[in-house]
Amino acid sequence: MSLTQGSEDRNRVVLRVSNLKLNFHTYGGDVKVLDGIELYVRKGEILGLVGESGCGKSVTALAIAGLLPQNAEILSGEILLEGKNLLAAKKEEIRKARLSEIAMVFQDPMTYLNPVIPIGKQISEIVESDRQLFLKPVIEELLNESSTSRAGYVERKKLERILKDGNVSKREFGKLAKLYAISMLRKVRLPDPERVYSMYPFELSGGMRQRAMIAMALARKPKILLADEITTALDVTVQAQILKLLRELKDQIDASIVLITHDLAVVAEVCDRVAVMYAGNIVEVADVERIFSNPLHPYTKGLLESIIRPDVVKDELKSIRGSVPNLINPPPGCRFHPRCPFAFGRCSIEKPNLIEAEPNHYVSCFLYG
Amino acid sequence: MVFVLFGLSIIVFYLTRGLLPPNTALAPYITPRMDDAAKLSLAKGLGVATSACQSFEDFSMGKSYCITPLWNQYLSWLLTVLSGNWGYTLLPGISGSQTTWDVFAGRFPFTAELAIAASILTIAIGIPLGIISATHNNKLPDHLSRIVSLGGYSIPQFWFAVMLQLIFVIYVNVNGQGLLPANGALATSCAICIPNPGTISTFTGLPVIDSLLSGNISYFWDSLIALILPSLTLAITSIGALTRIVRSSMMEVLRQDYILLARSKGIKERVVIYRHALRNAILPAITVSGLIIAFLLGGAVIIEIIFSWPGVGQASLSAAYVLDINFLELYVLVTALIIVVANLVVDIIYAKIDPRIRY
Repeated sequence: MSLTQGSEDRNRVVLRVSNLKLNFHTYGGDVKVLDGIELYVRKGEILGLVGESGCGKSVTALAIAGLLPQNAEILSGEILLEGKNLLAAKKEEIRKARLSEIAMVFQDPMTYLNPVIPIGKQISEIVESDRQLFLKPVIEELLNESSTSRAGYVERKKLERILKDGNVSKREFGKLAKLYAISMLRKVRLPDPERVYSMYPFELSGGMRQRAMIAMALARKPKILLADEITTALDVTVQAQILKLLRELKDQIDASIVLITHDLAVVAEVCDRVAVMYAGNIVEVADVERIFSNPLHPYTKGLLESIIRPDVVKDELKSIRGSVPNLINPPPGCRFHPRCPFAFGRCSIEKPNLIEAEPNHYVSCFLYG
Repeated sequence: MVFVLFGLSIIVFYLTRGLLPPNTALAPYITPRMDDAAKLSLAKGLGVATSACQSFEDFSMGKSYCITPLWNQYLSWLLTVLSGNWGYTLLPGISGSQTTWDVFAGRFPFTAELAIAASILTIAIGIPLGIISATHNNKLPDHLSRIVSLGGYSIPQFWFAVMLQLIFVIYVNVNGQGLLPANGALATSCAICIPNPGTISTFTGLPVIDSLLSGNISYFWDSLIALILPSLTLAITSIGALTRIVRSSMMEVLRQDYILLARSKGIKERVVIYRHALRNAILPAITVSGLIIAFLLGGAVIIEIIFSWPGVGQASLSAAYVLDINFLELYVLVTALIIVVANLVVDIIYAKIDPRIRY
């Protein structure tokens, strides 16, 4: 499809999703959740994935991480992580990819942390699960930290020796993993990380838990961070802190972020590019300034018009007429056509492709060709 | 806990004394050569008859001037039994020759041994089976486990016991001897038994443990073999119950968000299930295990009878026939004590596993 021949710099693409179609089997029939997702993420960028509830944002993220529920069936498509197709990979390979390359941070910090395992253990178990893989990053991180702290010379010597030998006993590594977890907790700016390490989730506030969850993602030094509505359950002040933290950490570990949200203010604040989703399709992709200054797709236009702004007085709150279609029997052709003010004959027959309407601005709508 | 036992002692006392004729209370304390005058003074001594009572005749007829008020009787009874005086047993065969306490104390270890073996089987089979069931939901292992658990839960124990005896004692035999023993707590005549295991000294009363402590391995082997069929029979129902509970709570936990997070971390599925899911799913199973253990320790009357197991369950049935109320009171109170203690232990384990629980 057109996205693959686009004018983006190929070498800098970390993740590419092409023509991803998937259904959920339910008793009511097959729900056609994703209908040919086209997406790419460049190295070091923050891509915002926006859309209404139920449009398939989270499912896209789960598909990338290989965490789809059992009733999901992938019909077609490719998910390429640095050229490797995750959809064709074995379960064990996908698990390894989650361990070191794709990290996910979830929406609700209240329910996503295990209530009976201490916070720190939930971080250190990640690196402990693969000593070979994490030996180097853990020791480098600790060396890095000890150079700034007042940790002794002997400690450095020991760490350097372990790094040179390349092997370490399980117990010894457990201790290092604990120090590493504490250092991660410090990185996400949790106060008194040594104490937080042994605390349980119920002893932390929502913002602290979200930080702890970010620390879990950070500990793996991932290439892609999938952040699924991470600010939705937080206070506005905490939201800003978390977003700022996320952006800083991304630069530190040189990762890319897919930020899933329905909050356009968050998108405007932190994202480099935006992909707008509607009913299982990507309808528009562009740089964040473009989307806000020159939205092309009728859905994007409607979405932006429905934002409530204190500086613009409106007689009436704007909304997009109609409601989200039932995806068991989605509308034929363009899935947005029943709600679209500009719909014409072709819209209900053919499905529009994502085309490059102007440089680096993709839209799937017949109004543009 | 003490209050529960105290309340229970009142109920037990009322049910045995308040509803039965007054002279049944004397029965455990009467020796064969007592005349009526001696019996009357015994009744007065036990606090059942008033000091104004003139003849034993009036007392056994229940004349009201002869009978002390019930609460008064209760206090005297409580003092008597708390001092360890439970009178002589009325059990057939040994009536009057041994104290109730000695009979109970001699039999209880056998029941305890059987119950502990059954509890170990229940937990060792029920919990893994439940986990397998939940992780292979609606696949072959789940169906097999469902057959085992629902089947085990539905089979009448007495029938299952007889079937086991038929199979392992009658049909499967080696050199004319059954593979396993059909009855008794010490197996000396079966295909894999050791005929003359010798003797052991008593430490805990439990033959399996005492034989190990005495260093008598043949005795240990014979006691262990004798346990197989009765403990399996006793466990079969609770295995079914525990399996289903572990399965449903495990499935509930596997749907939780934190399991998705754990999976998203890329740690092994085995770690997800045993570290992240099981610790949360095990809580209801612990409650049930506590109740099951208490229930099993309370004695399984039918199984003890079928396997001629010398435990308290069998004796309590005989005690009920001959109205040996002291034995029944002792049996009920000890059972209650076990249930109360089991609940306490469950609460302690709960607090250990779940950091959110504080007392």
